[in-house]
This record gives sequence, C-alpha cells and structure tokens, in this order.
Amino acid sequence: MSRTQPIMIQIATGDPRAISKQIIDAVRMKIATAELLPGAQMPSVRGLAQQLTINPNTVAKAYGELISEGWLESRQGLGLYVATPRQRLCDSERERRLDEAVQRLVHEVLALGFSADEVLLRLALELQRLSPRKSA
Amino acid sequence: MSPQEYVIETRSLGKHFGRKRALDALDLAIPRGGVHAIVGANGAGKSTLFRILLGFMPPTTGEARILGRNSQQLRPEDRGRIGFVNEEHTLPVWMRVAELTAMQSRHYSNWNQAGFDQVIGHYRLLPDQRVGELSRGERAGLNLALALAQSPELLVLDEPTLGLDVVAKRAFLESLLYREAASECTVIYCSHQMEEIERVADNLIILEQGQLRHMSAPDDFRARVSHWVADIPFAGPPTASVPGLLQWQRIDGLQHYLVLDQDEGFAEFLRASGARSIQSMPVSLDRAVNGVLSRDHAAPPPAV
Amino acid sequence: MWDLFKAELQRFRFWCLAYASLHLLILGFLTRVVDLAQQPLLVYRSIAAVYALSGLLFGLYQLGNYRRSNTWLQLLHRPLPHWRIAVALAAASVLLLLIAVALPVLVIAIWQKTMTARVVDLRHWLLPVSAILIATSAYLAAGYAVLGGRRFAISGLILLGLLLASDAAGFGALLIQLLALLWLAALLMLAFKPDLSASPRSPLALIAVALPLQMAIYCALVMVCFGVELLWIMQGSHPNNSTPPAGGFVEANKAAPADLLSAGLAVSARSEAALWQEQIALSEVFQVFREFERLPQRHSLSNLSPMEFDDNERGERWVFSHDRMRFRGYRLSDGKGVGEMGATTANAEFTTPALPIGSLPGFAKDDALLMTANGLYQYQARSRTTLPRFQLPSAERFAATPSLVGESIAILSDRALYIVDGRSVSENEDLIAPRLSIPLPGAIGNLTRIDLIELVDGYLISFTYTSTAHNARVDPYQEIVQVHDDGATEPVARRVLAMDYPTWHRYELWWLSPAMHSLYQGATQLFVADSPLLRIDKPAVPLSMRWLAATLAVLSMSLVLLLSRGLVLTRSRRLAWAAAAALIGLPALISFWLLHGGKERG
Repeated sequence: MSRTQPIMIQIATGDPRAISKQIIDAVRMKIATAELLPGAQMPSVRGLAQQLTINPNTVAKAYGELISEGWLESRQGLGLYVATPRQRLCDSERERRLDEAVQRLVHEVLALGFSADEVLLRLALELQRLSPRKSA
Repeated sequence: MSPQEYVIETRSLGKHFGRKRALDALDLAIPRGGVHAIVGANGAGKSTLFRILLGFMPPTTGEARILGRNSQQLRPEDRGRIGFVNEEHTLPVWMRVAELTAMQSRHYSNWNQAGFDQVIGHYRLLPDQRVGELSRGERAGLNLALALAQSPELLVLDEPTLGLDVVAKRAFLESLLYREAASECTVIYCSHQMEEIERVADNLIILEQGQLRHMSAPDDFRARVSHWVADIPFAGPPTASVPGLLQWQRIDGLQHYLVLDQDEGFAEFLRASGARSIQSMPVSLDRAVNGVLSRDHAAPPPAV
Repeated sequence: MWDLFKAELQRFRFWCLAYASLHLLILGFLTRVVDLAQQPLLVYRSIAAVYALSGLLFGLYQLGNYRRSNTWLQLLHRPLPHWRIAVALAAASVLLLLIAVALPVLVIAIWQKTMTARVVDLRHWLLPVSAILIATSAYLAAGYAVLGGRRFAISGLILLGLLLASDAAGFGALLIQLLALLWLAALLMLAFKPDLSASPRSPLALIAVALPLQMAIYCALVMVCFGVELLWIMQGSHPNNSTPPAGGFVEANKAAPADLLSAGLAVSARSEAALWQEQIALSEVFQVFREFERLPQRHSLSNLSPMEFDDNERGERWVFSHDRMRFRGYRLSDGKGVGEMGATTANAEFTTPALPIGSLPGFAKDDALLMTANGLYQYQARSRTTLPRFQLPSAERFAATPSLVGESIAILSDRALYIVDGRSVSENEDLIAPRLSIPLPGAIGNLTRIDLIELVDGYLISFTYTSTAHNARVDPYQEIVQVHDDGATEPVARRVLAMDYPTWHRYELWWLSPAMHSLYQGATQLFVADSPLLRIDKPAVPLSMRWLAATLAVLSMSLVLLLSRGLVLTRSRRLAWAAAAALIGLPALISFWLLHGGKERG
C-alpha cells in the first residue's frame, strides 16, 4: 500500500499543446527520468485538477491517454498507479524524439557561448546522475 | 436527444436594435452537463442572448428555451433552478454578508449551506461586513458562492472574472471547479480570458455577430487551426484563393498563413504556388480563437 | 418577500429617521410660532408639495437604482413571483414614508391636542393620512416613471396633478387621493416585470396605462396652446396687451368703473340715459366683486383662510371647531381654554362652518363679523356672544363678503344683490332686513364685476358677465338695471361684448378632445359637493367647432389604422384603438403612437 506520490508538474496556457497533452508529456517525462517509479500512486483526477487549476475532465482525459499508452494502470477501487515499464515506443519514434530533444538543447546552449566540450561534459554528468536512480 | 437534454436551445433567435442585429437567426443547442465556454468579440451578442434567455428582453424573432421552458414564460420555480452571475457582481451593497446569505438561503429551496461555506472559505469574508465594503474579488467570490449554493441546474456566468486580480481569479476558478456536486450543474461560462477557458471549458462555443460560428471541445477546435510559414518569392497566391484562410501576414519576406481545417494538402497548395520552403506548426487556443474571430476583419497592412 | 421587506427597511432606516427628525423639528418650530391647524390652503398645499417631492425623489432614487439592468436582473431573477418582490419593496417604502412623513405630523397633532387649548378636529387627524397618501402616490408615480416604458410612463404624474386640480374637500379629497394611489399602485405593478420594455397585455391593463397617458397628452396639448398664446402676447396683438380691443370683454374687465357704466349706457334706449351719463361723471361709482367659488366645508382638510379671530380687549382667541360647529376660545397670554361659543345666545351649533371675515362699520372695537354659508353673525365682545344679523333665503349662498356702498352695505349672494341700510347695523342688535334685493340678471359663476351709482331714487347698477369668457364658458355681456327705492327694477341696457379671441382659441380646451375635456371636468369634480356659486350659463358649442372636433377624430382614427398596419397587433386590438381614436381624438392617436410605435415591426 503506497501513498499518493506528489507529482510536480507545470502546465502553461497559451501553449500550442493542449493542457491534457502537457500533462501526458510531463508524466511520461517523470516516469522516464524515474521521478515516478512503477507502482507509485498517482494523484486523483480531482486532486491533480485542483493542483493545476484546470477542469477535472482534462485530467481524466490525460490519464485515459496514459493508461491506453500503458504508462499508468488502474487498480479497481484503489486508484491509478504507474505501470511496470515496457517498451512503449517504436525505434523510429524514439529516434525522432531524441533528435527533437537534441535540437532543442543545441539551440538553447548555443547562445550561452560554452564550448562543445564543456557542454558534453555537463551533459554526461547529468545523465550519470540520473542513471543510478534508474537502477535503484 | 429529447429537448430536456438541452439546457439552452434557441431556434432562429433574432434580436434587432433598430438596424443593428445583436442576434441574427441564432440556432444554438447546449447539452446538459459540463462547462460550456462562450466566446465572441465585444458586441457578438452574448449579453443580449443571456437577457433574452432569462426573459429580461423579448426576442425580435424566433424563440429561446432554457431548461426546456420558453424564456418569455419563466416561472419563479424555473428561476430557482438557474443561477446567474454577471460581470459587475451586482449585489445589494447595503446588506451585510450574513443578512444577504440568510435572505438567499430562504429564497432557494435547495440551498446548500455546506457548499456555500466551502466556496466562501476561499475568501476571507466577515459575516457582518457590508457587501459594499468588499473588494471586487471578494464580491465576486460571494456572488459565486451564493449562486452555487442555490444548487442550480444551470449556472450562467457572464464574464465573472473581469477585473479580478490573479489571486481572486484563481480562487474564483477553484471554487467553481472543485466544489462537491459540481458535476450536476451545467455551467455556461462567458469570458474573454482564453487562459481561463483553456483551463475550465469542456466545450467551446464561438459567437460572432449574433451567429454561432463554432461549437466543439477546445482541443478539437485548436487542432483545426494551423500556422504555415512559406518562403514564396514574389507576391504569393492571391488571398482569396488560399483555402480556409483566417489570417495572412508577410513578415520579413516570409508568408504566414493561419488556416482552418487544412491537412498536408495545404503544403501541396503552397508548393504549387511556388513556395521554396514550407513549415507548419500547431497554434495556441488563444491564437486559434483570435484567428477565427478576426477572419472577417480587414487584415493589417503587411509589415515591411 | 419578508426578507426583501426587512432589507429595504434596514437600507433606508438611517435616512428615514434623519428625515423624520428634521421634519419633526421643523414642524415643532412652526407650531410654536403659528397654529398649524389654522393655515390657509396655500400653506397646506406647499407642505403637501414637499411631501410629494420627498416621495417622488425617494421613488426615483430607490427604483431608479434597481432599474439598472444588472441590478434589475439580480432583483427579479429569483424564485419569487415578481409581484411579491414589488409588494415587498413598496410596503417597505410605505412604512418608511409613514415614519418620515406621517408620523411627525401625527406627533405634532397629539402634542397640540394634549398640551394646548388649540382646536384639533377630526379633519386635523386626517392630515397625516392625507400626507401618507400623497407621499405614497408620488413614490408610486416616480416608480412607474422609472420602470414603465420610457416613452410614456412619465404620464403617471398626471394622477398627482389630479390631486392638485381636484375640487374635492375633506373625505372627498381623501377618496381622490386614495383613488390616485390605487391607480398608481396598479401602474407600478404592471411595470414591475423582468422585461421592462413589454407593453401591457390585457385590455384592462392597457386601459389603466392609456387613460392617464391620454389625459397627460391632453394637458400637454393644452400647454402647447398656452405656449402659442404666450407667443401671441410677445408678438403684441393679444387682447391682454396694453390696449384691449374696443367693445370687447377684456376692455370691460379692465375699464374704470365710470367708463364701464357710461359705455353700457351708450347703447341704452332709455330717455334718461343722457342725464345718467352726466350723473356718472359727478358721482362716486361703487364696486362689488364676486369673491367666493366655494365656502368653507365641514371637515375640509384645509381652510380658505384661518378660521379664527382675536378679542384683543379680553386677550382671547376664538377658533372655529368643525367637530363642535362652535367657536372655542383660549387666552392668548397663557393658552388656557375659555370655553365654547355657539350661534346666538342659545349657544347652538352653527349650521355650516363660520368664517371670521373682519368687521362692519358700526361694530364695537373688538366685535367680529362671522359668515356661514347663508347667515352673518356679529361676535359681540361686550356680551361674548354671537348675534344673528343677516340671513339669506335658505337655498342661497354668499358670493362675497359685505362691502360698503356709500351709507349702505352691499351683500352679494348667488341669486341676488342685497342693499342693507348701514345705520341698522349699529342701531340695534336684531336681524337686519335688506332694504333692496335685486335679482342677478345672469349666472353667478360668470359675474366679473358690479358697478353702481346712487341715484336720487335708488341705484343704477351694471352687471358684467365676462368671467371665463376666454374659455367659452359664457357669451360675454354687460347688463344695466335701474332700481327704485321701492324695490322695482327696470332694465336700462344690455350690451353684448365682443369675444376678443378667435373662436378656435376660446374652444381649444373642447375641440382638442371633447372626451378628455369631459373626463377632466368629471375627474376634478369627483366627490365634490355641488356649489351653487359655480353655476354658469355655458353657450352651446358652435357648429364650426363641432366640425373641427369631428375632423380631428376622423383624422386620428385614420392615422391609427394607418400606423397600425405595420405593427403586430390583433385585429380586435387594432379596432379598439381605432374606436378609441374616433372617440378621444388626438390624445388617443398620440398615445397609440407612444405605446405601440417605435417598436420593431413584424
């Protein structure tokens, strides 16, 4: 019996992504980065809606999407939980997303004037910091 | 659907003020349940629509029904089932909060005191404060608390957060969305604040010049609008020939098109028009609504 | 409903109490200075106007605030029938007005009754009732003006005008005030609905709205005619301008007494006419004027003039009590009562209210002349009693106070002019018999002036009948008679006076709308006891004016039918309007346009 795991996500209105899409992305990111571990209880629909000041139906929609994608699972009468991971995306999609993320990073970093080595070093450090948690 | 399942139904509803048509043969059917946002430019006829729906103004043509009853024949018990909150939050300023609450609770047979207390808890009001002494946000909160405590089947909010600060706005939305029994009440939410609509609306209704322009879930609506940027040497295609065009701008030599209901076929169109490079992206709800509302307005002169 | 009532009371309680206190303070001050129960009509009218204005402003403020569209929605959009909301608000307002307006008057009356020897009659206890009726009517009229249709609802004020125009007195006046109040309450109730622009639906409601509106339009049309007359005066050829037209009634009204007599004699066929002309030049010409249109009525709320006189020698003031029909006295020095004084030494009730009207030559210093409807009494200070001195035949009424004609006294009634020997006033204390009684040649209501000279044998008397001739209520003329000392009268001359005004002008009150003209007469005379002093010889309406009125009626009807073509109206409603226009004329046409025009056309 686990307690509800708080999830710290931000949504932005005026974003081209729908709010439900933003929630989906955020939850996926948290699971991918192991901030949310399999078996963790998700906030209730009302709870998350209240936390984000949005319509509960939007949260319900996002949760529905996450369940159908296999990120979350519903346990009858108990609530929503993070599902045990399995391969969720096909290779080409993973490739595409990696490409997107790298592009974003490159754009951000370029303006800061660090050398490529410095950037690569920091990136390696960050990834290292994540990996032990992932295995924990 | 039987008529009973629509909370609001108008049939070729028209309201003319002299030569001006505030409502122009409006056909609108809003189903029971959920939060329905109505947006429209100023003068789109929203306030006129509400006045007619509540029987405070006669229609020029057509008819309006609210909770299945003709608006011109509302009985007191029908009024008890419809809450209305206007943008001024008009409340008797000379009354004390407790007096006003007591009066309302006696008028409404389904008064939900627990619900009232829950909503009013968002605001720091003293029972013996006069309504006139409250800040605008507090008055809005009190007004909403009173309206919600009536346990209405239908709650009409006409720009309820106009002029509220961020904190009050947040408190207002919270009290609207997260009280108990919120689901039994159909909410009509009329606002200019796209940010709020994005947060609260299940259904988006766009009125323009007294006519219904659009009605669907906000995300579905947003998905229909896309933004294309094309590098077309020379003038580009005449705007009249661009399919689904909402807005067109020429910025730094690039053609920006905001279009409705276009898929990859639009890229073909641009390519055929001589585009060298083409990019497309989704738009925010704000942009999408603005695009639709400004369709009939003159495009601004292209920036050089 | 109860909540709304309480809330409204709480809302205005401070202002209400402040008004009541100030009101009490002012009345309290005035009552120390004068006897508020014995003021002339104008004073009561002024006070009533203040109450009406208070009610009016209150209604404008209260309902004007509620009328703003969001506030109106907030007030009416609740599970209560709107008539109950209206009743709650109006009831609270009446209670507030009762406290602010009527209560201080009552307090002052109670103070006067218990703390002073001044007279407080039933009619004075009715004053607070009248005050609240007037203030409430004004409140309702303001509410109707604010809530009713913008194009016509101001017409409710005409019912306040009725209070001013009505000739009713006493209970009759209260009835009129109540009637106006109920009518205005009905109008406010009709206007008190979510959709303020909606016209009255039921035929009865339409009549309730249309009738005052048509009367208001009629009065407005009369004002327009009056404005035209003002332009005429400014332009300089109006009969009232400096030199009136020769031979007209305006000239007769303004003429010097000798000139008027002489002008009348000029048309006489009598052989003595030339002799009399010379005599006029040598003699003093005496004048008698009609003074009263009404005499004091028992229990009337106000007074023609204060019904009191002072006995300075004794230091006493005697005030007529309508309840006791006797005078009641109190000492001026300490305000202590000194008892009652009735008619004659028998201390009987006076038959009608007795008005102190000064004195007569031959009276002792503190004696006073008292006038009932048809009897004159002498208050004799010496004996502190009243003596009957002159009696008209029972059906006759005084039309003026006695006036001096040389050594004699002239007494004018509605039927005759009596000449009484001046010496008999002081010679004894008996009932005086008239030396001469000359029947009036015309109706008293038309009489403007009497001019007379003494002849060696009797009098030469000119009666001028021109009153209200500009409104076509008489064909003006001057009649001269000779009266011999033995009482025989002989006609001398009858001079028909020119009308001065064009016929259309004299009849404009009538042809503008004969129906409204009659309604106006009927409304102002409702609950009014017939006064013989108002009797006139009204000439028949000339055929030309009848044609004018008929033409206007047909025109109005045609225009109503024409205007109604583009409107959404049932057939029967359309025909009813056409019939009303045919009957009422212009006011019905304009009211139709105000009520139904300016709407969207279907």
